[in-house]
Amino acid sequence: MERPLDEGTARAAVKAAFEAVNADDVRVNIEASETGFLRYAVNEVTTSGQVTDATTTVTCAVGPKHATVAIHGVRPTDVAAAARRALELARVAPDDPEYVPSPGAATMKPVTAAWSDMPVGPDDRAALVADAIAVAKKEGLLGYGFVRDFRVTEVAATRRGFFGIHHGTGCDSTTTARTSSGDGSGWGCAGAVAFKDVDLAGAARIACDKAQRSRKPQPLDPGVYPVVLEPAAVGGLLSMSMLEARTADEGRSPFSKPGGGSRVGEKLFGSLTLKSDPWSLVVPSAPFDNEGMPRPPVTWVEAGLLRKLRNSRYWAKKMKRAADARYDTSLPTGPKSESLEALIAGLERGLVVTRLWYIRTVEPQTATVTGLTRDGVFLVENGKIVHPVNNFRFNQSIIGMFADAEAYSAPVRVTDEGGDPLAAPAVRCKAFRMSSRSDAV
Amino acid sequence: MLTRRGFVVGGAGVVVAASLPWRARAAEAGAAPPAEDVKALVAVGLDAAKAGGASWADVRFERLRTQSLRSEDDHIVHSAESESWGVGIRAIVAGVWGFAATWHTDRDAVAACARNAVAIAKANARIAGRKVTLAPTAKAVGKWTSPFEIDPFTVPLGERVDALLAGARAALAMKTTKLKVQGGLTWISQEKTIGNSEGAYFEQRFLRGQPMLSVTAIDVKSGQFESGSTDSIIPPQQIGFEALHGSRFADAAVHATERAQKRLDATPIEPDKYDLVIAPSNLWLTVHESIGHPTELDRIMGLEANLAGTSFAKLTDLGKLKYGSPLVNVVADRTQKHALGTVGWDDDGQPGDKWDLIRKGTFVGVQTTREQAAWVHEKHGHAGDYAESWSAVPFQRMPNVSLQPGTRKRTPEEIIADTKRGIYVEGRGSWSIDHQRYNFQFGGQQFTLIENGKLTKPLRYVAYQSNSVEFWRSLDALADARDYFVGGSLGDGKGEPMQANPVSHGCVTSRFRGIRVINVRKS
Repeated sequence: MERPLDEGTARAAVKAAFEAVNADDVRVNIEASETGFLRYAVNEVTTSGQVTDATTTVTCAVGPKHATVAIHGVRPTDVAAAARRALELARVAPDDPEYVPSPGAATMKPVTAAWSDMPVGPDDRAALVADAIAVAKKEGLLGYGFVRDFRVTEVAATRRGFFGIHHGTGCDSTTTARTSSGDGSGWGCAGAVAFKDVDLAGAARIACDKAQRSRKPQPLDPGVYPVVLEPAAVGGLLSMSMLEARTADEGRSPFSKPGGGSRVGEKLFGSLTLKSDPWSLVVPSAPFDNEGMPRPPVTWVEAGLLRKLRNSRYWAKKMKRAADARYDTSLPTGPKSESLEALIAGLERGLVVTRLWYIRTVEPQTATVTGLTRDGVFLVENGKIVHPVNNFRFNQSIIGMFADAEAYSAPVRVTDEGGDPLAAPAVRCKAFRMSSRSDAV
Repeated sequence: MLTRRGFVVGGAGVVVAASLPWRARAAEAGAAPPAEDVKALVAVGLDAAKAGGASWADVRFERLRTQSLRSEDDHIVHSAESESWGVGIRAIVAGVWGFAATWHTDRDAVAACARNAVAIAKANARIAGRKVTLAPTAKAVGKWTSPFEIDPFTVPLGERVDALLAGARAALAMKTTKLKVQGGLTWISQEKTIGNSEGAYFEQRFLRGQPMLSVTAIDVKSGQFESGSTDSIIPPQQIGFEALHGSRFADAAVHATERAQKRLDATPIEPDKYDLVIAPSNLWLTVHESIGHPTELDRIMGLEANLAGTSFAKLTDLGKLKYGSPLVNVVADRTQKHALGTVGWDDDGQPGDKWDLIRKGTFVGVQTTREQAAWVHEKHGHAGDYAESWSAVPFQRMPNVSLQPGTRKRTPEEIIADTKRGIYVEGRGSWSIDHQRYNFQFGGQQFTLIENGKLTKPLRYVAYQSNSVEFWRSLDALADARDYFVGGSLGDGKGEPMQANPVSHGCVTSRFRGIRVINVRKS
């Protein structure tokens, strides 16, 4: 299938920017995309559409002064004009003591697993959703959901010689099933690089099963419980972590050490291993970032030990360290991968949580976040689910949660609140603080 | 507000109010406007949609511009401008919606986009249910611009830099502790030109912006840190660069710094039930979450169940549910000057209007659009449809939802003096509410213990938890209109794909009896 942007067109846009200005440094980023989506509720379509978009961003630097201009489109004449405007702004911008010249040429292996040639159209989306709605109707439930497929081309180029182009596809979907009386709700998600691999009907079956099983939840008091967090719940917590070296070194992060410095080298996360790897088949991503930095596989946390924090190019220069790219995916794993069923079987008395909602930091020094459970919370006794319980608000340190984690499943592709994919495992954790009850179903 | 985006590693983590992509002067920066007259292109799109079988269609051209600065401590680290032109087209075919959008704005592309919208509507027929009908409204024709004195897109970069750094330097001058100061100055110009098959053709410009600083006070020795920000003092508005005139921003920076520093030495809260006297700089967000969202008709009807959630409020509760104490009066308003939700018309061509949601404590109204009017037997519906950009589908978004001041003359100081044991809560902290809007938890930027009518000592690790209806029923004192403050956000997230909606909420200092207060480190 045709890419949203071919390399020839991308190089022409980049060349137009480079030739338009006599700046010390020029960087061009292009993101061209074709996105299709379909949203449904109460077993019928609500909105759907297709969007063709392209954004070109040009950054020019004159000494330590720099400025950025973004436009929609990739026409060389427009890109050249954007470059001229960026240079004009850069010339009058104040000196930036944090400015670091752009990276130069680099060799990267393409992430070919990120692309599927399968075309997707309105009829394909409608068919996928029709199957999911049929599952809900068959169960006598109300189905809700969202499907989004994308084809994207990302380009980063610097006058100093870096040129990276990455093509990616994906389809991520979520679905909720609710009882018509409103006393039960379940959720599932399905996503893949190729549209054909997205099992939305399977996700709908999981959602329907949970909706049925979550009916008439029994009251349970708040308190500290052992829990099994399913992958979507873990994904919600992971996205709140910020493993930035600068914030730690400046004393404003949970990874800051009293007296100065960071907690790199401390065992903070129990048995968690956290890597980033653009070539991961779970959620592949571009092998470079938008500044033109290659993204080699990296290990942030190994067997609970905080191995490293991410150093921006400026912070690396200041601290005399190696700079890291910006990564937008991570791969959390435990020492071994157990099935979700095995994780539940290991609970003597505790809760299984489908997913979390409205997660916000409440106390950044301890990485404590608040949020709520939703779409299925079940009490487990002696390794077996016994009945559904009410939802809870929690206040929980993310670091503490991983420190208390005792078992993991393999990471899978889940969908976050914004509809983007991320990799997350299910986790069994010894102590999770439920602060109050929520009446929401 | 749902907008939250954080990656495990590498997120920017800087306080910038919005990040829509644009730039300052089209002729120089190159995002070329449509080559043809926009009105002619609108006609091309409408004709193509109708020829394809659409019973109704609209064609929406948008020009979106932003300018943004970001600072770290005393210097600028990011200066950017951005602009885009694009077109979004909706079509109704046999009672089913279709939508398509593209940045290509030539005649052929617009026609193809319209045909695509029609094709999508047709493809969806197999999963369609209720037929879409739009309530009648007067034909929207004309122009509307949000109020401003100085267009920030005409202000030289140097002047904008000076304005942002003036605030940063005022904060950095407060040297009691180590400080980290991060700033952002953002303006967004959204220009919408919409024509529809009913003959409406209207042009609007929304100019929104906000200067903002976040200050973190750091005690290196103990590893403790606390943050404050100016956004509770200078909220985003529909306003021009005049928002930065005078010393208001620098004063707010000093105030935010003092708050952060004060919290470092504050007493950890003892969890208990307290009477809360909540300043409007904190309460506006509670209004948003616990009244604004539960009274959206799409949530009430279940349409947001997959993500944003539904509502505890039901249509059968209208006229019956005691949502709050008799002092609680809440209006929805699309006409309030400078407020972010104010429009000339919504994206359906419905003129901005104002109506009651809660009257003397009773739930009496919901937020609707032309499409939703029939669902609740309204003749016209309200001006509720909005899309964040040309590439987004318009849907029901929140107007300015505001708690009305008390009619009895009363100042915040008098309310505090009348409180025996409580906490005075100021500024926006963290916020979270469940997916049916029952259980919420809010933090703040400054908490001060009230003992025998006096503010005595600062507190930390404070959050208040309650249930929406219980909370509003516990309100027993309101300041009068002199205390009225309008807070807001440029990015209230909702929908799939998620869209940001600018929204404002007015309110006054209010007292709530017997609210659960927790120590976030313990409970």
